Order: sequence, then C-alpha cells, then structure tokens
Amino acid sequence: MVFSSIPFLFYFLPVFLALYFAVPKKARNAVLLLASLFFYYYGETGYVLLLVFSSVMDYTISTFIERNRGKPSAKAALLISVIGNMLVLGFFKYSDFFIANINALLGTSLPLPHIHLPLGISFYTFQTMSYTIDVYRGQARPQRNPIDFAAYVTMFPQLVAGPIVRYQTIGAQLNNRKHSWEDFSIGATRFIIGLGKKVIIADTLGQLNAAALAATDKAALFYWLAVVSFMLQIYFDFSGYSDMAIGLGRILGFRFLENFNYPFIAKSISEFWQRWHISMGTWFREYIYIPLGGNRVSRLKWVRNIAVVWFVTGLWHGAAWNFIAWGLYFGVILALEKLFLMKRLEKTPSALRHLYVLVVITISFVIFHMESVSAITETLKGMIGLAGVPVVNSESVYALKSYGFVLILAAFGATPVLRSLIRKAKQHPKWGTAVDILTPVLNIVLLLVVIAYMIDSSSNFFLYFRF
Amino acid sequence: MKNLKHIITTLTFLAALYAVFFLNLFKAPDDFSVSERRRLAQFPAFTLETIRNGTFMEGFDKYAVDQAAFREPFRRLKAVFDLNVLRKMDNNNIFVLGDMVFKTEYPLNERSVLRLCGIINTVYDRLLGEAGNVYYTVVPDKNAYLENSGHLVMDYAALERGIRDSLDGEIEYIRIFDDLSLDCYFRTDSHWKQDKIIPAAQTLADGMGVELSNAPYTKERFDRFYGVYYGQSALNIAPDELVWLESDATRQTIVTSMEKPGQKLPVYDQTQLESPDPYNLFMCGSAAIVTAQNPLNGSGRRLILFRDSYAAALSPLLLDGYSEIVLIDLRYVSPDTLGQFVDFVGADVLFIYSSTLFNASDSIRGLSAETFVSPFVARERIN
Repeated sequence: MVFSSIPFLFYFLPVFLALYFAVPKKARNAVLLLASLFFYYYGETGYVLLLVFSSVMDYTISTFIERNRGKPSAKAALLISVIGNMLVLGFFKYSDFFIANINALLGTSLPLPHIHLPLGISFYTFQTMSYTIDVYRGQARPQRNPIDFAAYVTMFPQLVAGPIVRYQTIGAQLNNRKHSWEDFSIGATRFIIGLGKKVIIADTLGQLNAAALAATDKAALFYWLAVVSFMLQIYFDFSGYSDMAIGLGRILGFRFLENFNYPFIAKSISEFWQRWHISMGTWFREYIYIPLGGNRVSRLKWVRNIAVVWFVTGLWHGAAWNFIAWGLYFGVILALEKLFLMKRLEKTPSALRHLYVLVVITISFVIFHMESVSAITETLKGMIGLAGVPVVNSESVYALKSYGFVLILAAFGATPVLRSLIRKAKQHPKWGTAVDILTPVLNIVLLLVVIAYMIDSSSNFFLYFRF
Repeated sequence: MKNLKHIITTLTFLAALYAVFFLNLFKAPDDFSVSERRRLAQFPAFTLETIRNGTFMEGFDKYAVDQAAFREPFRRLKAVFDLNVLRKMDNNNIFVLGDMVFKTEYPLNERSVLRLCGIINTVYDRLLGEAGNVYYTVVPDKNAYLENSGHLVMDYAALERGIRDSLDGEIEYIRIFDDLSLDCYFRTDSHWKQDKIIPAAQTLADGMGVELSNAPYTKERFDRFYGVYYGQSALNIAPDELVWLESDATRQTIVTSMEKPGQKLPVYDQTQLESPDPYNLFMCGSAAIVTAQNPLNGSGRRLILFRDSYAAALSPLLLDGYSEIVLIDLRYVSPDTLGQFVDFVGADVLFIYSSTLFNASDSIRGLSAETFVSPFVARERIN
C-alpha cells in the first residue's frame, strides 16, 4: 500500500487512527504492529513473513548479545545478524545482478532467478541491523518486549521507503511517548504537504520525464528536460515520502529525524550529502565509514574508506553498474573536495559554488537515471549539443511550455525561500494570525486537490520503493 | 490560543478524513461512468484465495478509485488545476481552445500507418478481385485544421504521402481534406457533423462517379449531445447539437446489422440518443457489418465501405446513389470470414478511415497469418 493511494487515505488511515487512539496507551504499539503488518501484506502478501523473520532474528540475537555482553559469543551473534541480514538483502536484491555478471565474466549462461524484490527490504534490513549493532556497542538498550520491537521494525510510516530510523532515535519513544494536539496538527500538515509534493509535483514531473525520454525526435532541450525533471521529480518524490513518514510518525507521537534539508542549495558536494537522504548518509557513516577508521587513518586507507562507502552507497540504490558508477562518482568528487577543492571553494563566490554543485549533481543524475553507458554518454552529449540533434524542436518547446510552470514551481519549492517567508510571517503579530487561520484551510484545499489527482491518476508508485 | 490553532487544524483534518471515509463507506457503487463511457470496477471477490494471492487487493485498488465519492467533481478539479493552475497545455492529452475540445494526435506513427495499409492491400488482393472500382479516402481528425495553436499536430501531408506510397496503386485516392474545416466537427466529440459534410460526400460521390440528388434534407436535432471528449476533458463544457439529415431515401432505407439478425432498423436509430454514445444514432453505430437497402434506387449499384465510425454519419448522404450500401468495420469482424457475409462482385468499394485510426491501427483485425501480407512486403511491392 502506498500513502498516495485512495485505499490508504480513504480507508486504512481513518480506521487505523480510530483504533490507535481508542485503545489504551499500552496497547498502541500492538495496534501499530498489526496495522503495519496489514499495510505490508496489502502490497506484498507473503513477503510479510520475511519482515517477521527479520524482526524475530534481530530481536533474538540482540537479546542474546545483551545476555552475553563481553563474551566472544556476543561478537559471533553480531556477525550472524550482519551476515543474515546481508544474505537476505543479497538474495532478494542482488541475485540477478550477481549471476548476470558471473555469466558475463565466465561466459556461462546460468539462468537468472528473477526474484521479486520485496518492498522496503533495503530500509528495514538496515534498520534491524543497526539495532543489533547499537545493542552490541552498548549504544542502545535492547528492547525486551517483542511487540514493541516488532512495532519499531515494521512501523508503516517509514517501513517501505524510510527514512531509516535508528533504534536509538525512537527507542525511548516506543515505550513512553506523548500525544498532543500540537503533534497531531503539525504531523497532519506535514503529511498533507508531503502528499502534495508527491502527487502534484513529482508525478507531474514524472510525466515530463517520460515524455522527454519517449520523444522520437530528440533535441538538446529534451535532454535537459529529461534530466532536470528527473532531478526534481526524485527530490519531490522522496522528500515528499519522507514528509509523509515524518508527519505520520508525529501524529503517532514519534519524532523521526529529518531526511532532507533543501539539498539543491548546497555549496559543495559534501554539504549536498549532509542535506540529501540524511538517514542513509548517517547510516553509512556510523556503520561503515567510521568502523573502517574514517579519516583518522593514513591517506591511502582513507581513500579506500571513501571508495568502500560510496561503492556500497551506489550498490544499495540498485543492483546495476550505473548505480555503482554513480556512487563511485560521488566518492571521487568527495575525495577531491576533501583533498584539494574545499579550500578553493571556500574562497569562491557563492554563485559559482552553487553552479559547481548543480553541474556535478546534474551529471550524477544522468548516471543514476540512465541504465547503460551508451545512454549516459548520449544524454550528456545531447545536453551540450554534441548528439547531432537540434537545440529545440516543436515537441520539446511544447513540453517546456506545458511543464514550464511546474518546473519553476518545483525549483522554487526546492529552496527554503517559502519556509523562511512563513517563519517570518509567523513571528509577525498580524501575519502570524493569518498563517494560523490559513493553515487548516490550505490543508483541506491541498488535500482535496491531492485526492483529485489520485482519482484521475494512474501512477502513484514511489521511486524509492525499488531501492 | 496556541493550542486552539492546533486543535482546529487537527479537527479539520480529521473531519475531512472521516467525511471521505464515511461517504465512501456508504456510497452505493455505480456500474457505469457515462462521462468516461466505461464500466467501473466493482468490489472484488473476497475469499481466502484472493486475499492470499493478492488479487483482492489489486481489485480493491481499482474499486476504490473507480467508486470514489464525488468522482466527477474531483476529475473536474484535477483538470482545472492542471490547465489553470499548473498552466499545462493539456490534461491527459485533452486540451480546450475556445469552447472546442481536442485530443492530441501526435506524433505520426508510421508503423501503424503501414500496418493498416498492409491490411487494406491484403483485403484488396484476397477479396476484391471481382469488385468494381476500389477507392480510399482519409478523414482528417479536427487537429488537421488547427493553425498556430501552439499544440502538437501530426504531419498530415506525411500521413497522406505514407498511405499513398504504401497502398496498392490500383486503389484510387479521393481527397476530402479541402472539403472540411474546424466548423465541420463537434466541439465535444472527435467526430464530424453530418450537416457539415455534404461537400465531402459530394466529392466522394463525384470521385466514384455517382450522382446524388440535390433534393434538400430535413434537419432533425438533438441538443444534449455530450461527445466523447466531454467526458475525457472532465470540464464543464456546453453540449453540442447533434443534427441528422432526413430525406426520402433515408426514410425508406431498411438497415440490418449482423449483430441484430432479423431486425429491420432505421438509418437513424433515435433510441440511441439516450445511450452513453448518442453518435450511435447513425447506421447502427459501432457494428461489424451493416447493410442499408435503398428501395428508391433501382440501379442495383452497390457500395462497400470498409470504415471506422466516421462513415456512419457519411453513408446516409451517399444513399441516393446506391441501391445498397454495406458498412464493414474490421475492428469487429475478421477479414478472413468476410467472404461468407458480403458479396463483393461488381460493387464499388471505398476504404474510409480517419487519420486517428491510421495512426493507431492496432484495433483493426488483420488477416490470418498464412495470407497476411506484411506492410513491409506491401511497401516493397509498391516500390
């Protein structure tokens, strides 16, 4: 089930909220667990057992680790958890990729198993793994109640597309959280804004992207439209989902950490990654980069650490070489920034720094979006007018005219200007009151528009589900 | 005060959420969407098996969307928002210029054009050996008459050229593009207006060497015609007036349809005016094989039309010149079986298809594999 669907909004959410707030506080995690299992079963049927297996495995192992703290068996248990989670992820996500590469390398023709990729597997395996590692490190107290632990793992607001919520972030809230009008209203507003970002902006940009890619008569403008629309689509899609997750969590009394912070305004790639998919970046830093030694090692090892982290980051996004190339591309840029560029960047005017980031990011999205080397080079050549196509044609001009306003709206929405204006207005005595009055009205208007789009739209799949 | 705003925001959200919940819970399901002209999804089978294999959930997704309360107003809201707020040029490929609704027909699908030409060539080769003269015409869709609208328009000259180059040289082209204008089409529908296509009918008759009487027609009217684009646009657009032309020939002609054996039907079946598609008024609407016998023409001359829906409104205007007109729609009958139902000997034959159908010909049935001449072979043969 997806948030931007009629079954979720019209049926699941009202029934769930009624049940959740009707039962005593002690029973709310059980309601959350059952609802989450239903939520997952609705879209993935039998694969819900995998989710249960993952929960049971890490609950059992972390309990064992706690009881055997300091003993070698605790470390062995941790290894079992990490290997177990990696095997599950590897089997379901990377089998085809692995076998295809074996075939290519050895000239064999082993059949590809075409295993179904269960929704959210990349997210929940990382969550459960981080829990066990945190317990082993003594950074998190193990959850003794299996229902509370399963509620954490399966929690539907962030189950299928994150953010990756580490146990230490909400461990205390699982057992003792408060519910308030403020949390509910802020959460509901955030949820509706996320819906709007996804349904109105991202899906519309997705149409532009599809049109640009499908165009029979190419033009340089089409290549630009394809890439820019994809950049903004994926941002609004994923940050919209994160908004919905954070909003729903807030309604239920949880405080998830932010996952996006206007990444396109970054002035360096290092800063970009502090603003884009923050929970994933944090995860890789905490559980791979720092354990490898981080930057407190020799320069050679440090380069190795960066290469490992960004190889894994690319691979996490998808079982294909373009994702790995995308990750390594960032690894190289980040290494260059830390070695040479950052000092120069600090002396560079802001506008040029923004331009630098946008150019690097644009190229990265070409690598991310196109699945073959030929498509990547064709797109990059096309963007700079080397693909032997005209700069514009009637079809690309039509696409620009048709989606120009959405592109402007999305570009504006990707900056914090509107947020700053609202914050300033809130501090003003008169404008603050106007914002208070307008918030519920705009919420309902936006919700109605979103419903209209959901009823008329055929596509509501989140891009990050496939990761 | 601070808490009050949160209470109000929360309660308005909950009120909206539960309003849609209860409205949808207690709304009786509809069978059919008149505006979209399609059956709506019904509540799926609720069994252990459908829940286990996920088909219940798939069905429920469709059901929930199709049966959503206030579906039509929501579709309208989306169209208005797309066109007026997001300033998109079209909504689901539908756009409005003035008070006329259009659907984007772009780009030219050469493969589809070649496919239909291949089918026509094969029909010609296999079935029309003993037929009289064989002609074809292309009915332009109304986008052909858009000028400087900023919307994407198919290259109609390339379409005509492609058809001419692909069809057997013995099939003669009768061009009607110049007999039509934007005014000849309904505002809310893709089709042409019968009362505006008399010049086109005359051109076709002249091309086929048939004389039509100049007797004036009597106009009959239906003023609540909501065409197919009306529903697709989801916008609040005034209905069209549907006019049909009566003459002695149309009143005397007896129509029969293969789908309704034994029934004698009128040229204009006015019971269709209250149906989801009032355009079915003309010549039994969408039907596989329709035969119109005109007792007022004793020449014995016959016309076979291989056609799409545009010919339904046109064919009554040709009745004067023929004793019998047969309309064959290859979307509903296979050409393999045609020989059993239609006598082609000595008959004039006109292939009359719209540019829209040439550009999306998948719905047309080809001949069986053994006898089907691929369009690529057809083109080679012409060359």
